Amino acid sequence: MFLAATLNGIVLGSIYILIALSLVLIYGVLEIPDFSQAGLYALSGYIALTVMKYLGLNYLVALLVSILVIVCLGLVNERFAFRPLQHKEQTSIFIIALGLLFVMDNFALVIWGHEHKSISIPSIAGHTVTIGEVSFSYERGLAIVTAGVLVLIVHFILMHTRTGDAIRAIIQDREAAILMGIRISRIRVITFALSCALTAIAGALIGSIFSIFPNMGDYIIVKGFGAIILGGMGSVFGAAVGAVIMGFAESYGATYVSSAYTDAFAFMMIILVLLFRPSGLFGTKERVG
Amino acid sequence: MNQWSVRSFRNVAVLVLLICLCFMPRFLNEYLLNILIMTFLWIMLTVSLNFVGTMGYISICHATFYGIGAYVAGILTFKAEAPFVVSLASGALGAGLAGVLLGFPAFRVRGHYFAIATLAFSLILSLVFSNWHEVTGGDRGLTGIFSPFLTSRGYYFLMLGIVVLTVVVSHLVLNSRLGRQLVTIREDEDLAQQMGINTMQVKLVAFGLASLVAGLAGGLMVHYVNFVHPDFFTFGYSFSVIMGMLMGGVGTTGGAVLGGVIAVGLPELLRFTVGWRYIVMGFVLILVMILMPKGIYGTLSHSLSKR
Repeated sequence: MFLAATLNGIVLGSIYILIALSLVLIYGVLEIPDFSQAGLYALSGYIALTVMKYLGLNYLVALLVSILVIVCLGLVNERFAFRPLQHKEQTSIFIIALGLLFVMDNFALVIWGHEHKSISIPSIAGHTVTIGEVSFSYERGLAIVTAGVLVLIVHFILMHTRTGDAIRAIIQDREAAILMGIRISRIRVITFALSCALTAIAGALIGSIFSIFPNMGDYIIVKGFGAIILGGMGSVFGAAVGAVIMGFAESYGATYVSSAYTDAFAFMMIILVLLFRPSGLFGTKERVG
Repeated sequence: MNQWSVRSFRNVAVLVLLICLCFMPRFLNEYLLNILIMTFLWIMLTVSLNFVGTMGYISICHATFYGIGAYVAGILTFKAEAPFVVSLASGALGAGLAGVLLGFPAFRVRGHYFAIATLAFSLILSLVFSNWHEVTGGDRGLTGIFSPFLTSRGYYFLMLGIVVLTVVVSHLVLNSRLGRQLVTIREDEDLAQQMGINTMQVKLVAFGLASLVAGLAGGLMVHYVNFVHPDFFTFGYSFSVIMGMLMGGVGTTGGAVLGGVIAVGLPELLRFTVGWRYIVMGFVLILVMILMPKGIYGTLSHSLSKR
Protein backbone atom coordinates (compact mmCIF):
# COMPACT_ATOMS: atom_id res chain seq x y z
CA MET A 1 0.00 0.00 0.00
CA PHE A 2 2.68 2.47 1.10
CA LEU A 3 5.05 1.34 -1.66
CA ALA A 4 2.32 1.62 -4.30
CA ALA A 5 1.42 5.10 -3.10
CA THR A 6 5.08 6.14 -3.12
CA LEU A 7 5.66 4.87 -6.65
CA ASN A 8 2.49 6.56 -7.79
CA GLY A 9 3.66 9.77 -6.15
CA ILE A 10 6.93 9.59 -8.07
CA VAL A 11 5.04 9.15 -11.36
CA LEU A 12 2.71 12.08 -10.63
CA GLY A 13 5.65 14.14 -9.46
CA SER A 14 7.49 13.52 -12.74
CA ILE A 15 4.57 14.78 -14.78
CA TYR A 16 4.06 17.78 -12.48
CA ILE A 17 7.76 18.60 -12.67
CA LEU A 18 7.53 19.05 -16.45
CA ILE A 19 4.46 21.30 -16.16
CA ALA A 20 5.96 23.25 -13.26
CA LEU A 21 9.24 23.83 -15.12
CA SER A 22 7.32 24.98 -18.15
CA LEU A 23 5.27 27.39 -16.02
CA VAL A 24 8.19 28.76 -14.04
CA LEU A 25 10.31 29.40 -17.14
CA ILE A 26 7.52 31.32 -18.89
CA TYR A 27 6.74 33.10 -15.61
CA GLY A 28 10.27 34.43 -15.73
CA VAL A 29 9.82 36.20 -19.07
CA LEU A 30 6.06 36.86 -19.10
CA GLU A 31 5.61 37.65 -15.37
CA ILE A 32 2.36 35.72 -15.28
CA PRO A 33 1.75 31.98 -15.05
CA ASP A 34 0.77 31.02 -18.60
CA PHE A 35 -2.31 28.87 -18.04
CA SER A 36 -2.73 28.36 -21.79
CA GLN A 37 -0.05 25.68 -21.36
CA ALA A 38 -2.91 23.55 -20.01
CA GLY A 39 -4.57 23.67 -23.42
CA LEU A 40 -1.31 22.80 -25.18
CA TYR A 41 -0.84 19.91 -22.75
CA ALA A 42 -4.22 18.41 -23.71
CA LEU A 43 -3.70 19.04 -27.44
CA SER A 44 -0.31 17.35 -27.26
CA GLY A 45 -1.90 14.18 -25.89
CA TYR A 46 -4.50 14.21 -28.63
CA ILE A 47 -1.96 14.88 -31.39
CA ALA A 48 0.24 12.00 -30.26
CA LEU A 49 -2.81 9.75 -30.07
CA THR A 50 -4.03 10.76 -33.54
CA VAL A 51 -0.61 10.33 -35.17
CA MET A 52 -0.26 6.83 -33.71
CA LYS A 53 -3.80 5.69 -34.34
CA TYR A 54 -4.59 7.11 -37.76
CA LEU A 55 -1.16 7.39 -39.35
CA GLY A 56 0.08 4.19 -37.74
CA LEU A 57 3.43 5.70 -36.77
CA ASN A 58 5.34 4.69 -33.66
CA TYR A 59 5.32 6.49 -30.32
CA LEU A 60 8.65 8.23 -30.76
CA VAL A 61 7.58 9.80 -34.07
CA ALA A 62 4.22 10.76 -32.59
CA LEU A 63 6.03 12.41 -29.68
CA LEU A 64 8.26 14.40 -32.04
CA VAL A 65 5.31 15.47 -34.20
CA SER A 66 3.40 16.62 -31.17
CA ILE A 67 6.40 18.54 -29.78
CA LEU A 68 6.79 20.27 -33.15
CA VAL A 69 3.12 21.21 -33.46
CA ILE A 70 2.83 22.37 -29.84
CA VAL A 71 5.99 24.49 -30.02
CA CYS A 72 4.66 26.15 -33.20
CA LEU A 73 1.28 26.77 -31.55
CA GLY A 74 2.94 28.16 -28.44
CA LEU A 75 5.02 30.55 -30.55
CA VAL A 76 1.89 31.67 -32.42
CA ASN A 77 0.27 32.38 -29.05
CA GLU A 78 3.34 34.31 -27.95
CA ARG A 79 3.51 36.39 -31.14
CA PHE A 80 -0.16 37.17 -31.71
CA ALA A 81 -1.74 37.11 -28.25
CA PHE A 82 0.88 37.86 -25.59
CA ARG A 83 3.19 40.23 -27.44
CA PRO A 84 0.55 42.84 -28.41
CA LEU A 85 -0.33 43.10 -24.71
CA GLN A 86 3.14 42.99 -23.22
CA HIS A 87 2.95 46.51 -21.79
CA LYS A 88 -0.55 46.08 -20.33
CA GLU A 89 -1.18 45.16 -16.72
CA GLN A 90 -0.59 41.54 -15.71
CA THR A 91 -4.26 40.80 -15.17
CA SER A 92 -5.00 41.39 -18.88
CA ILE A 93 -2.20 39.06 -19.92
CA PHE A 94 -3.49 36.44 -17.51
CA ILE A 95 -7.00 36.76 -19.02
CA ILE A 96 -5.52 36.28 -22.50
CA ALA A 97 -3.87 33.07 -21.28
CA LEU A 98 -7.21 31.87 -19.90
CA GLY A 99 -8.90 32.86 -23.18
CA LEU A 100 -6.42 30.74 -25.13
CA LEU A 101 -7.00 27.86 -22.72
CA PHE A 102 -10.78 28.21 -23.21
CA VAL A 103 -10.35 28.14 -27.00
CA MET A 104 -8.06 25.08 -26.91
CA ASP A 105 -10.30 23.18 -24.45
CA ASN A 106 -13.27 23.70 -26.74
CA PHE A 107 -11.24 22.89 -29.84
CA ALA A 108 -10.27 19.52 -28.35
CA LEU A 109 -13.90 18.95 -27.39
CA VAL A 110 -15.15 19.66 -30.93
CA ILE A 111 -12.52 17.57 -32.69
CA TRP A 112 -12.08 14.59 -30.37
CA GLY A 113 -15.26 14.53 -28.28
CA HIS A 114 -15.54 14.28 -24.51
CA GLU A 115 -14.86 10.52 -24.09
CA HIS A 116 -11.70 9.62 -22.18
CA LYS A 117 -9.08 8.11 -24.48
CA SER A 118 -5.66 6.64 -23.90
CA ILE A 119 -2.47 6.06 -25.83
CA SER A 120 -1.20 2.52 -26.01
CA ILE A 121 2.44 2.00 -26.90
CA PRO A 122 2.49 -1.43 -28.61
CA SER A 123 6.18 -2.16 -27.95
CA ILE A 124 5.92 -1.86 -24.17
CA ALA A 125 2.16 -2.21 -23.51
CA GLY A 126 1.32 -4.84 -20.93
CA HIS A 127 4.88 -5.24 -19.65
CA THR A 128 5.38 -4.75 -15.95
CA VAL A 129 8.16 -5.02 -13.43
CA THR A 130 7.36 -6.24 -9.95
CA ILE A 131 8.81 -4.24 -7.08
CA GLY A 132 8.01 -5.83 -3.73
CA GLU A 133 4.40 -6.84 -4.21
CA VAL A 134 3.58 -3.92 -6.49
CA SER A 135 3.55 -4.33 -10.25
CA PHE A 136 4.82 -1.32 -12.10
CA SER A 137 4.11 -0.76 -15.78
CA TYR A 138 6.82 0.15 -18.31
CA GLU A 139 4.86 3.26 -19.29
CA ARG A 140 5.23 4.63 -15.77
CA GLY A 141 8.92 3.85 -15.83
CA LEU A 142 9.20 5.65 -19.15
CA ALA A 143 7.53 8.73 -17.66
CA ILE A 144 9.91 8.82 -14.70
CA VAL A 145 13.02 8.29 -16.82
CA THR A 146 11.95 10.87 -19.42
CA ALA A 147 11.15 13.46 -16.76
CA GLY A 148 14.47 12.80 -15.06
CA VAL A 149 16.42 13.23 -18.30
CA LEU A 150 14.50 16.39 -19.17
CA VAL A 151 15.17 17.91 -15.76
CA LEU A 152 18.89 17.29 -16.31
CA ILE A 153 18.70 18.84 -19.80
CA VAL A 154 16.87 21.91 -18.50
CA HIS A 155 19.40 22.17 -15.68
CA PHE A 156 22.24 22.00 -18.20
CA ILE A 157 20.67 24.64 -20.47
CA LEU A 158 20.02 27.00 -17.57
CA MET A 159 23.37 26.59 -15.86
CA HIS A 160 25.87 26.00 -18.65
CA THR A 161 24.76 27.93 -21.72
CA ARG A 162 24.71 31.65 -22.46
CA THR A 163 21.00 31.47 -23.25
CA GLY A 164 20.44 29.84 -19.89
CA ASP A 165 22.38 32.62 -18.17
CA ALA A 166 20.17 35.14 -19.95
CA ILE A 167 16.98 33.32 -18.92
CA ARG A 168 18.13 33.19 -15.31
CA ALA A 169 19.10 36.84 -15.37
CA ILE A 170 15.64 37.78 -16.63
CA ILE A 171 13.97 35.64 -13.97
CA GLN A 172 16.07 37.31 -11.27
CA ASP A 173 15.74 40.92 -12.36
CA ARG A 174 14.04 41.83 -15.59
CA GLU A 175 15.03 45.49 -15.76
CA ALA A 176 18.66 44.86 -14.89
CA ALA A 177 18.80 42.12 -17.52
CA ILE A 178 17.51 44.47 -20.21
CA LEU A 179 20.01 47.13 -19.13
CA MET A 180 22.78 44.54 -19.42
CA GLY A 181 21.92 44.21 -23.11
CA ILE A 182 20.02 40.96 -23.04
CA ARG A 183 17.65 40.89 -25.99
CA ILE A 184 14.50 40.03 -24.15
CA SER A 185 12.30 39.31 -27.18
CA ARG A 186 14.76 36.68 -28.42
CA ILE A 187 14.95 35.07 -24.98
CA ARG A 188 11.15 35.17 -24.78
CA VAL A 189 10.84 33.13 -27.98
CA ILE A 190 13.45 30.61 -26.86
CA THR A 191 11.84 30.25 -23.43
CA PHE A 192 8.39 29.77 -24.92
CA ALA A 193 9.72 27.11 -27.29
CA LEU A 194 11.49 25.27 -24.45
CA SER A 195 8.45 25.47 -22.16
CA CYS A 196 6.04 24.30 -24.84
CA ALA A 197 8.30 21.36 -25.62
CA LEU A 198 8.22 20.34 -21.94
CA THR A 199 4.43 20.72 -21.87
CA ALA A 200 4.08 18.69 -25.07
CA ILE A 201 6.20 15.84 -23.67
CA ALA A 202 4.17 15.85 -20.44
CA GLY A 203 0.91 15.65 -22.40
CA ALA A 204 2.09 12.79 -24.60
CA LEU A 205 3.50 10.89 -21.59
CA ILE A 206 0.39 11.20 -19.44
CA GLY A 207 -1.73 9.78 -22.28
CA SER A 208 -0.03 6.41 -21.93
CA ILE A 209 -0.52 6.29 -18.14
CA PHE A 210 -3.86 7.94 -17.47
CA SER A 211 -6.54 9.05 -19.90
CA ILE A 212 -6.84 12.00 -22.26
CA PHE A 213 -9.90 14.25 -22.20
CA PRO A 214 -10.49 17.82 -23.44
CA ASN A 215 -10.13 19.73 -20.17
CA MET A 216 -7.50 17.46 -18.61
CA GLY A 217 -5.14 20.40 -18.42
CA ASP A 218 -7.37 22.55 -16.20
CA TYR A 219 -6.59 20.61 -13.05
CA ILE A 220 -2.95 19.86 -13.72
CA ILE A 221 -2.11 23.49 -14.50
CA VAL A 222 -3.43 24.60 -11.12
CA LYS A 223 -1.30 21.89 -9.51
CA GLY A 224 1.69 23.00 -11.54
CA PHE A 225 1.05 26.52 -10.30
CA GLY A 226 0.76 25.09 -6.78
CA ALA A 227 4.20 23.58 -7.25
CA ILE A 228 5.76 26.87 -8.31
CA ILE A 229 4.23 28.85 -5.46
CA LEU A 230 5.38 26.16 -3.02
CA GLY A 231 8.81 26.66 -4.52
CA GLY A 232 8.60 30.43 -4.26
CA MET A 233 7.57 31.63 -7.76
CA GLY A 234 10.87 32.63 -9.33
CA SER A 235 12.92 29.60 -8.39
CA VAL A 236 13.42 26.82 -10.92
CA PHE A 237 14.84 24.46 -8.28
CA GLY A 238 11.99 25.32 -5.93
CA ALA A 239 9.43 24.55 -8.63
CA ALA A 240 10.90 21.10 -9.19
CA VAL A 241 10.83 20.31 -5.46
CA GLY A 242 7.31 21.75 -5.21
CA ALA A 243 6.15 19.48 -8.03
CA VAL A 244 7.49 16.38 -6.27
CA ILE A 245 5.79 17.47 -3.03
CA MET A 246 2.51 17.95 -4.92
CA GLY A 247 2.84 14.48 -6.45
CA PHE A 248 3.45 12.76 -3.11
CA ALA A 249 0.77 14.78 -1.29
CA GLU A 250 -1.77 13.82 -3.90
CA SER A 251 -0.80 10.16 -4.02
CA TYR A 252 -0.76 9.68 -0.22
CA GLY A 253 -3.95 11.73 0.12
CA ALA A 254 -5.72 9.47 -2.37
CA THR A 255 -4.47 6.32 -0.66
CA TYR A 256 -5.00 7.20 2.97
CA VAL A 257 -7.72 9.85 3.08
CA SER A 258 -10.17 10.02 0.19
CA SER A 259 -9.78 9.37 -3.50
CA ALA A 260 -12.76 11.48 -4.58
CA TYR A 261 -11.30 14.60 -3.01
CA THR A 262 -7.63 14.09 -4.01
CA ASP A 263 -7.57 17.20 -6.14
CA ALA A 264 -9.24 19.22 -3.40
CA PHE A 265 -6.17 18.72 -1.11
CA ALA A 266 -3.90 20.18 -3.74
CA PHE A 267 -6.18 23.20 -4.21
CA MET A 268 -6.61 23.74 -0.45
CA MET A 269 -2.84 23.68 -0.20
CA ILE A 270 -2.59 26.49 -2.77
CA ILE A 271 -5.05 28.66 -0.86
CA LEU A 272 -3.19 27.93 2.41
CA VAL A 273 0.23 28.70 0.94
CA LEU A 274 -1.10 31.98 -0.47
CA LEU A 275 -2.49 32.73 2.99
CA PHE A 276 0.37 31.85 5.30
CA ARG A 277 3.52 31.67 3.24
CA PRO A 278 3.04 33.83 0.14
CA SER A 279 6.75 33.72 -0.63
CA GLY A 280 6.67 29.93 -0.92
CA LEU A 281 8.49 27.28 1.12
CA PHE A 282 11.87 28.08 -0.41
CA GLY A 283 11.26 31.66 -1.41
CA THR A 284 13.34 34.40 0.09
CA LYS A 285 12.11 37.41 -1.83
CA GLU A 286 8.84 38.74 -0.40
CA ARG A 287 6.27 38.80 -3.14
CA VAL A 288 4.13 41.88 -3.75
CA GLY A 289 1.47 39.99 -5.74
CA MET B 1 -22.33 65.24 -28.68
CA ASN B 2 -21.93 67.06 -25.43
CA GLN B 3 -22.26 65.55 -21.98
CA TRP B 4 -25.91 66.56 -21.54
CA SER B 5 -27.19 65.22 -24.86
CA VAL B 6 -25.31 61.93 -24.40
CA ARG B 7 -26.96 61.49 -21.04
CA SER B 8 -30.46 62.30 -22.27
CA PHE B 9 -29.95 60.06 -25.31
CA ARG B 10 -29.01 57.25 -22.94
CA ASN B 11 -32.03 57.84 -20.70
CA VAL B 12 -34.43 57.80 -23.67
CA ALA B 13 -32.81 54.63 -25.02
CA VAL B 14 -33.17 52.88 -21.64
CA LEU B 15 -36.83 53.93 -21.40
CA VAL B 16 -37.67 52.71 -24.92
CA LEU B 17 -35.87 49.44 -24.22
CA LEU B 18 -37.85 48.91 -20.99
CA ILE B 19 -41.19 49.56 -22.72
CA CYS B 20 -40.24 47.15 -25.50
CA LEU B 21 -39.25 44.49 -22.96
CA CYS B 22 -42.65 44.85 -21.22
CA PHE B 23 -44.49 44.04 -24.45
CA MET B 24 -42.06 41.34 -25.63
CA PRO B 25 -44.00 38.29 -24.34
CA ARG B 26 -46.93 39.17 -26.66
CA PHE B 27 -44.79 38.76 -29.75
CA LEU B 28 -42.18 36.15 -28.88
CA ASN B 29 -42.45 32.37 -28.96
CA GLU B 30 -41.33 30.12 -26.08
CA TYR B 31 -37.82 29.71 -27.50
CA LEU B 32 -37.09 33.43 -27.77
CA LEU B 33 -38.72 34.09 -24.41
CA ASN B 34 -36.45 31.43 -22.92
CA ILE B 35 -33.40 33.17 -24.40
CA LEU B 36 -34.52 36.47 -22.92
CA ILE B 37 -34.93 34.90 -19.47
CA MET B 38 -31.44 33.35 -19.74
CA THR B 39 -30.11 36.76 -20.79
CA PHE B 40 -31.65 38.29 -17.66
CA LEU B 41 -29.91 35.66 -15.49
CA TRP B 42 -26.59 36.35 -17.19
CA ILE B 43 -27.02 40.11 -16.88
CA MET B 44 -27.30 39.52 -13.13
CA LEU B 45 -24.02 37.58 -13.28
CA THR B 46 -22.04 40.10 -15.35
CA VAL B 47 -23.42 43.11 -13.47
CA SER B 48 -22.49 41.55 -10.14
CA LEU B 49 -19.05 40.39 -11.28
CA ASN B 50 -18.51 43.96 -12.43
CA PHE B 51 -18.34 45.05 -8.76
CA VAL B 52 -15.21 42.92 -8.45
CA GLY B 53 -13.97 43.91 -11.92
CA THR B 54 -14.31 47.60 -11.13
CA MET B 55 -11.66 47.27 -8.43
CA GLY B 56 -9.31 45.62 -10.91
CA TYR B 57 -9.68 42.10 -9.55
CA ILE B 58 -10.63 39.09 -11.68
CA SER B 59 -12.60 36.36 -9.95
CA ILE B 60 -12.78 33.00 -11.71
CA CYS B 61 -15.44 31.51 -9.47
CA HIS B 62 -18.56 33.49 -10.30
CA ALA B 63 -20.33 30.44 -11.72
CA THR B 64 -19.48 28.72 -8.43
CA PHE B 65 -21.44 31.30 -6.41
CA TYR B 66 -24.22 30.95 -8.97
CA GLY B 67 -23.98 27.21 -8.26
CA ILE B 68 -24.05 27.64 -4.48
CA GLY B 69 -27.23 29.73 -4.80
CA ALA B 70 -28.73 27.15 -7.15
CA TYR B 71 -27.88 24.17 -4.94
CA VAL B 72 -29.04 25.81 -1.69
CA ALA B 73 -32.33 26.95 -3.24
CA GLY B 74 -32.79 23.65 -5.04
CA ILE B 75 -32.04 21.45 -2.04
CA LEU B 76 -34.27 23.51 0.29
CA THR B 77 -37.14 23.26 -2.19
CA PHE B 78 -36.49 19.62 -3.03
CA LYS B 79 -35.89 18.19 0.45
CA ALA B 80 -37.58 20.67 2.81
CA GLU B 81 -40.29 22.04 0.54
CA ALA B 82 -39.31 25.55 1.54
CA PRO B 83 -41.41 28.41 0.11
CA PHE B 84 -40.14 30.09 -3.05
CA VAL B 85 -38.96 33.31 -1.43
CA VAL B 86 -37.27 31.51 1.48
CA SER B 87 -35.32 29.25 -0.88
CA LEU B 88 -34.21 32.22 -3.01
CA ALA B 89 -33.15 34.26 0.01
CA SER B 90 -31.22 31.33 1.52
CA GLY B 91 -29.46 30.68 -1.78
CA ALA B 92 -28.43 34.31 -2.09
CA LEU B 93 -27.30 34.54 1.55
CA GLY B 94 -25.43 31.23 1.31
CA ALA B 95 -23.52 32.43 -1.74
CA GLY B 96 -22.85 35.84 -0.18
CA LEU B 97 -21.51 34.20 2.97
CA ALA B 98 -19.29 31.89 0.92
CA GLY B 99 -18.01 34.96 -0.92
CA VAL B 100 -17.04 36.75 2.29
CA LEU B 101 -15.43 33.56 3.71
CA LEU B 102 -13.36 33.10 0.53
CA GLY B 103 -12.57 36.81 0.39
CA PHE B 104 -10.84 36.79 3.80
CA PRO B 105 -7.88 34.67 2.68
CA ALA B 106 -8.04 35.43 -1.06
CA PHE B 107 -7.90 39.22 -0.77
CA ARG B 108 -4.58 39.00 1.01
CA VAL B 109 -3.08 38.62 -2.45
CA ARG B 110 -3.55 40.66 -5.60
CA GLY B 111 -3.62 40.37 -9.38
CA HIS B 112 -3.44 36.92 -10.88
CA TYR B 113 -2.71 35.37 -7.48
CA PHE B 114 -6.20 36.35 -6.41
CA ALA B 115 -7.60 35.00 -9.68
CA ILE B 116 -5.88 31.65 -9.12
CA ALA B 117 -7.06 31.44 -5.50
CA THR B 118 -10.64 31.85 -6.74
CA LEU B 119 -9.98 29.28 -9.47
CA ALA B 120 -8.75 26.80 -6.83
CA PHE B 121 -11.90 27.49 -4.79
CA SER B 122 -14.12 26.87 -7.81
CA LEU B 123 -12.35 23.58 -8.56
CA ILE B 124 -12.84 22.43 -4.95
CA LEU B 125 -16.55 23.31 -5.05
CA SER B 126 -16.92 21.52 -8.41
CA LEU B 127 -15.59 18.38 -6.72
CA VAL B 128 -18.02 18.85 -3.84
CA PHE B 129 -20.98 19.35 -6.19
CA SER B 130 -20.27 16.14 -8.08
CA ASN B 131 -19.11 13.96 -5.18
CA TRP B 132 -21.41 14.77 -2.24
CA HIS B 133 -24.08 12.38 -3.53
CA GLU B 134 -26.39 12.41 -0.48
CA VAL B 135 -26.95 16.16 -0.67
CA THR B 136 -26.26 17.36 -4.21
CA GLY B 137 -27.29 14.23 -6.10
CA GLY B 138 -23.71 13.89 -7.38
CA ASP B 139 -23.16 13.61 -11.12
CA ARG B 140 -26.84 12.99 -11.78
CA GLY B 141 -27.82 16.34 -10.29
CA LEU B 142 -31.24 17.06 -8.79
CA THR B 143 -34.28 16.88 -11.04
CA GLY B 144 -37.92 17.83 -10.55
CA ILE B 145 -37.38 20.85 -8.32
CA PHE B 146 -40.80 22.36 -7.74
CA SER B 147 -41.48 25.87 -8.96
CA PRO B 148 -44.63 27.92 -8.20
CA PHE B 149 -44.51 29.52 -11.66
CA LEU B 150 -46.30 27.49 -14.29
CA THR B 151 -45.82 29.70 -17.33
CA SER B 152 -42.58 31.12 -18.62
CA ARG B 153 -44.47 34.37 -19.25
CA GLY B 154 -45.06 34.87 -15.52
CA TYR B 155 -41.42 34.07 -14.84
CA TYR B 156 -40.40 36.53 -17.52
CA PHE B 157 -42.00 39.44 -15.68
CA LEU B 158 -40.55 38.33 -12.33
CA MET B 159 -37.08 38.16 -13.91
CA LEU B 160 -37.54 41.50 -15.67
CA GLY B 161 -38.39 43.12 -12.33
CA ILE B 162 -35.38 41.59 -10.57
CA VAL B 163 -32.99 42.51 -13.39
CA VAL B 164 -34.17 46.11 -13.40
CA LEU B 165 -33.68 46.16 -9.64
CA THR B 166 -30.16 44.70 -9.99
CA VAL B 167 -29.22 47.26 -12.64
CA VAL B 168 -30.54 50.12 -10.50
CA VAL B 169 -28.61 48.84 -7.46
CA SER B 170 -25.46 48.52 -9.58
CA HIS B 171 -25.89 52.04 -10.92
CA LEU B 172 -26.35 53.42 -7.39
CA VAL B 173 -23.41 51.45 -6.00
CA LEU B 174 -20.98 52.45 -8.77
CA ASN B 175 -21.94 56.13 -8.40
CA SER B 176 -21.74 56.08 -4.63
CA ARG B 177 -18.86 56.54 -2.21
CA LEU B 178 -18.30 52.76 -2.34
CA GLY B 179 -18.11 52.88 -6.14
CA ARG B 180 -15.47 55.59 -6.06
CA GLN B 181 -13.52 53.61 -3.46
CA LEU B 182 -13.59 50.60 -5.81
CA VAL B 183 -12.12 52.72 -8.61
CA THR B 184 -9.46 54.08 -6.25
CA ILE B 185 -8.47 50.55 -5.31
CA ARG B 186 -8.12 49.68 -9.00
CA GLU B 187 -5.98 52.72 -9.70
CA ASP B 188 -3.64 52.32 -6.74
CA GLU B 189 -4.45 50.04 -3.85
CA ASP B 190 -1.59 51.16 -1.60
CA LEU B 191 -2.54 54.77 -2.12
CA ALA B 192 -6.20 53.98 -1.36
CA GLN B 193 -5.08 52.45 1.92
CA GLN B 194 -2.95 55.44 2.79
CA MET B 195 -5.85 57.75 2.05
CA GLY B 196 -7.74 56.05 4.84
CA ILE B 197 -9.88 53.62 2.86
CA ASN B 198 -10.31 50.36 4.71
CA THR B 199 -9.44 48.42 1.56
CA MET B 200 -10.04 44.96 3.04
CA GLN B 201 -13.53 45.95 4.17
CA VAL B 202 -14.38 47.58 0.82
CA LYS B 203 -13.13 44.56 -1.10
CA LEU B 204 -15.10 42.17 1.11
CA VAL B 205 -18.29 44.23 0.75
CA ALA B 206 -17.95 44.32 -3.05
CA PHE B 207 -17.12 40.62 -3.27
CA GLY B 208 -19.90 39.65 -0.87
CA LEU B 209 -22.43 41.74 -2.78
CA ALA B 210 -21.27 40.23 -6.08
CA SER B 211 -21.60 36.67 -4.79
CA LEU B 212 -24.97 37.47 -3.16
CA VAL B 213 -26.42 38.60 -6.50
CA ALA B 214 -24.86 35.60 -8.27
CA GLY B 215 -26.45 33.31 -5.66
CA LEU B 216 -29.83 34.97 -6.20
CA ALA B 217 -29.45 34.40 -9.94
CA GLY B 218 -28.63 30.74 -9.21
CA GLY B 219 -31.81 30.30 -7.17
CA LEU B 220 -33.88 31.95 -9.90
CA MET B 221 -32.26 29.65 -12.46
CA VAL B 222 -33.16 26.53 -10.46
CA HIS B 223 -36.79 27.55 -10.16
CA TYR B 224 -36.90 28.22 -13.88
CA VAL B 225 -35.25 25.07 -15.29
CA ASN B 226 -36.35 22.84 -12.33
CA PHE B 227 -33.01 21.08 -12.53
CA VAL B 228 -29.49 21.49 -11.19
CA HIS B 229 -26.34 19.75 -12.36
CA PRO B 230 -22.61 20.18 -11.50
CA ASP B 231 -21.76 20.81 -15.18
CA PHE B 232 -23.54 24.20 -15.04
CA PHE B 233 -20.94 25.64 -12.70
CA THR B 234 -17.57 24.74 -14.21
CA PHE B 235 -14.54 26.83 -15.15
CA GLY B 236 -16.02 27.28 -18.64
CA TYR B 237 -19.10 29.02 -17.26
CA SER B 238 -17.15 31.21 -14.88
CA PHE B 239 -14.96 32.17 -17.77
CA SER B 240 -17.98 32.92 -19.96
CA VAL B 241 -19.14 35.44 -17.34
CA ILE B 242 -15.68 37.05 -17.38
CA MET B 243 -15.69 37.06 -21.20
CA GLY B 244 -19.08 38.75 -21.31
CA MET B 245 -18.05 41.34 -18.74
CA LEU B 246 -14.76 42.17 -20.47
CA MET B 247 -16.30 42.32 -23.95
CA GLY B 248 -19.03 44.64 -22.69
CA GLY B 249 -16.65 46.76 -20.68
CA VAL B 250 -15.60 46.75 -17.02
CA GLY B 251 -16.42 49.57 -14.63
CA THR B 252 -19.79 50.74 -15.92
CA THR B 253 -23.25 49.28 -15.40
CA GLY B 254 -24.04 49.74 -19.11
CA GLY B 255 -20.97 47.79 -20.15
CA ALA B 256 -21.81 44.97 -17.75
CA VAL B 257 -25.42 44.77 -19.04
CA LEU B 258 -24.14 44.66 -22.62
CA GLY B 259 -21.72 41.95 -21.47
CA GLY B 260 -24.59 39.77 -20.21
CA VAL B 261 -26.37 40.22 -23.55
CA ILE B 262 -23.21 39.24 -25.44
CA ALA B 263 -22.52 36.23 -23.20
CA VAL B 264 -25.92 34.74 -24.09
CA GLY B 265 -26.54 36.34 -27.49
CA LEU B 266 -23.26 35.59 -29.26
CA PRO B 267 -23.30 31.80 -28.63
CA GLU B 268 -27.01 31.80 -29.52
CA LEU B 269 -26.35 33.58 -32.85
CA LEU B 270 -23.53 31.14 -33.54
CA ARG B 271 -25.65 28.11 -32.63
CA PHE B 272 -25.40 26.79 -36.23
CA THR B 273 -21.65 26.32 -35.75
CA VAL B 274 -22.31 23.80 -32.92
CA GLY B 275 -19.18 23.43 -30.79
CA TRP B 276 -17.14 26.00 -32.69
CA ARG B 277 -19.10 28.87 -31.19
CA TYR B 278 -17.10 28.83 -27.95
CA ILE B 279 -13.89 28.88 -29.95
CA VAL B 280 -15.19 31.93 -31.83
CA MET B 281 -16.14 33.50 -28.46
CA GLY B 282 -12.60 33.00 -27.20
CA PHE B 283 -11.09 34.60 -30.28
CA VAL B 284 -13.52 37.53 -30.12
CA LEU B 285 -12.50 38.05 -26.48
CA ILE B 286 -8.80 38.08 -27.37
CA LEU B 287 -9.45 40.54 -30.21
CA VAL B 288 -11.53 42.81 -27.98
CA MET B 289 -8.85 42.71 -25.25
CA ILE B 290 -6.15 43.71 -27.74
CA LEU B 291 -8.11 46.25 -29.83
CA MET B 292 -10.66 47.65 -27.36
CA PRO B 293 -9.25 47.39 -23.84
CA LYS B 294 -12.22 49.39 -22.50
CA GLY B 295 -14.71 46.92 -23.94
CA ILE B 296 -17.37 47.52 -26.56
CA TYR B 297 -19.55 49.79 -24.40
CA GLY B 298 -16.59 51.79 -23.14
CA THR B 299 -15.25 52.34 -26.65
CA LEU B 300 -18.67 53.22 -28.09
CA SER B 301 -19.62 55.71 -25.38
CA HIS B 302 -16.15 57.24 -25.56
CA SER B 303 -16.42 57.87 -29.30
CA LEU B 304 -20.02 59.10 -28.95
CA SER B 305 -19.18 61.76 -26.38
CA LYS B 306 -16.09 62.88 -28.34
CA ARG B 307 -18.09 63.58 -31.50
